Amino acid sequence: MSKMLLRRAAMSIPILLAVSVLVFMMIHLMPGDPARIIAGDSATEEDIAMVRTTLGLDKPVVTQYAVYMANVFKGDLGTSLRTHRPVVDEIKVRLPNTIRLAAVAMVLSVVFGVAIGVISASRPYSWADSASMVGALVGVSMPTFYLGLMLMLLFSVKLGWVPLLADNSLKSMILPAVTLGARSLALLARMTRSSMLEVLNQDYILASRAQGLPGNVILYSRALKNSMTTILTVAGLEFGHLMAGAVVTEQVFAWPGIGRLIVESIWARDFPVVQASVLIIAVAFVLINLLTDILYTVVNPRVRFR
Amino acid sequence: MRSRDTEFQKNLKRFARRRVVVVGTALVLLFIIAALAAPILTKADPNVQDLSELLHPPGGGHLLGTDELGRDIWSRILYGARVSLLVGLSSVGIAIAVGVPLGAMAGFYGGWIDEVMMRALDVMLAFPGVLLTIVLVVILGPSLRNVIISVGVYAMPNFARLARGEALSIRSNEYIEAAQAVGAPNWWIIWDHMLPNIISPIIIMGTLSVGNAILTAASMGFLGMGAPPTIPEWGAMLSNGRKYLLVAPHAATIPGLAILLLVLGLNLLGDGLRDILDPKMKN
Repeated sequence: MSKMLLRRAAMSIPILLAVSVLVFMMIHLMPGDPARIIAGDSATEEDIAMVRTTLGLDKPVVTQYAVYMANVFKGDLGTSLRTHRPVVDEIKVRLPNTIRLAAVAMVLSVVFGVAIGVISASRPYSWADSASMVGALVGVSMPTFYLGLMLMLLFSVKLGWVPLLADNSLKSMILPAVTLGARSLALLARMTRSSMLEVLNQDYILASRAQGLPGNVILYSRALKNSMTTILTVAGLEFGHLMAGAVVTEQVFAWPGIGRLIVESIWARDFPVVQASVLIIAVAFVLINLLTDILYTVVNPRVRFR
Repeated sequence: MRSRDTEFQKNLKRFARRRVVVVGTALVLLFIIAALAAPILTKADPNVQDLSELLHPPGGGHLLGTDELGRDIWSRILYGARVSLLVGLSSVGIAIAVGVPLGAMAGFYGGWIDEVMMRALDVMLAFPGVLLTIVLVVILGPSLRNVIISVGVYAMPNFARLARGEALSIRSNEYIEAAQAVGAPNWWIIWDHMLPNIISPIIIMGTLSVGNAILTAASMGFLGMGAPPTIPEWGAMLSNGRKYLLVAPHAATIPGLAILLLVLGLNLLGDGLRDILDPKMKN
């Protein structure tokens, strides 16, 4: 098994390298002179020349990449063109806010998604099941920014229960977290239902019924327990998507996370910040997926003993 | 021919029996009609500004009210349906046109071709959710065409993986071996023998992906990285309208509702198609 895990971990290295190349190449792939793009439309020729030498854009691309990566490994992600502060400092402030938001959204979506899925699977084709699944489909079809605005309109503007703008309190986190997690919640509810229904059709469930085990015991200690590995794997993979989804949600609620930083930096043409933020999310996503795979292998006896 | 007809009729009946699928189809048809008949359904130009009628609530001379520049929202929703359907269909078209042949080739040839293609897809999939689209739009520049391309590239790996899996599973079938034995060229085997066999899962994934593509494109519009302001795009309409949420909630809620209903219709339709065409994919 350890050989398999090592192979899986080794597979992430070329992916991470390719991701870093793509992120690094962002400015170079844009049509036009990178120095001119960064300096902006109103820049003079001297400004452009200065940007070119300061950022090392006059050197060969391969050298630029090598320098970039060497700096990344030293923890230097460049300097913001907008604030002239190290990019790392900007990210250090914003990233924890996004992680916090994604974590709360994750917990909400797992708890409610699994609960709804279990209720649906325990009474398939009942009205509760149909209502839950239609609700889940609406959740999957709902634009995040629309849901966010509607929740804001109802709970902040009309009812005044939660603050309209983010102030870092737990209360101001509820709406953004619900908005961000809604899609994952809907996906998890659908996944849990189908996974549970599959397990409930297995022979050992029939055997348990024949032994006279109560319905609830079969549902929770047999079916749910056996569906849990699949559910948790999907949940793990969803965490990375939540971090990316934060780009839109944070924009709706003015939440000071890394997603909002990306959008602000794109508008300000602050490319070092855009590159670093995208790199951080992509690397986190690859590592979370790797971790989920490893946990799945460790937890699932069918894979473990292969 | 006769048995095929009855099979089709059977499917059609199964389709019609499921109420949610009928609702989904009706919603999608409604938006297609709105898009096609926009010039008949409204006389108002979606771009004409009337500064004396800013943020007019629904009713009166404007069925769905006006936006912050006094433009008729009903007209912008109708013409916006064209934009959304265009973006959804063409980006998924790109994803299928590029992803399916690549995936089928990877599955058919195996070996290093497969390895290289799958690793390239892994790199694309390393950018979660909307992030890859954002990166591509930043590189290509914000415009409707570039949003279509970027959303297409974002949706492509799913089709490639699906086609690869299906191609792998039918590669060793006897009719493929027979075609190889009589000397048919590989491209012909992929085109004539493999693609028709993998078409139904691709149709299902395609229908479900159109909704997702519309959502992603609308997100880009919302973030201000989509179509220019002269094009009535629902995501951008919502983004502009949300500044007036307190005084004129209709300006943001109506475009949002349009996106929701169209995507919901497509998802209901896709779910129904899946249950009918390929019950195996249900889980």
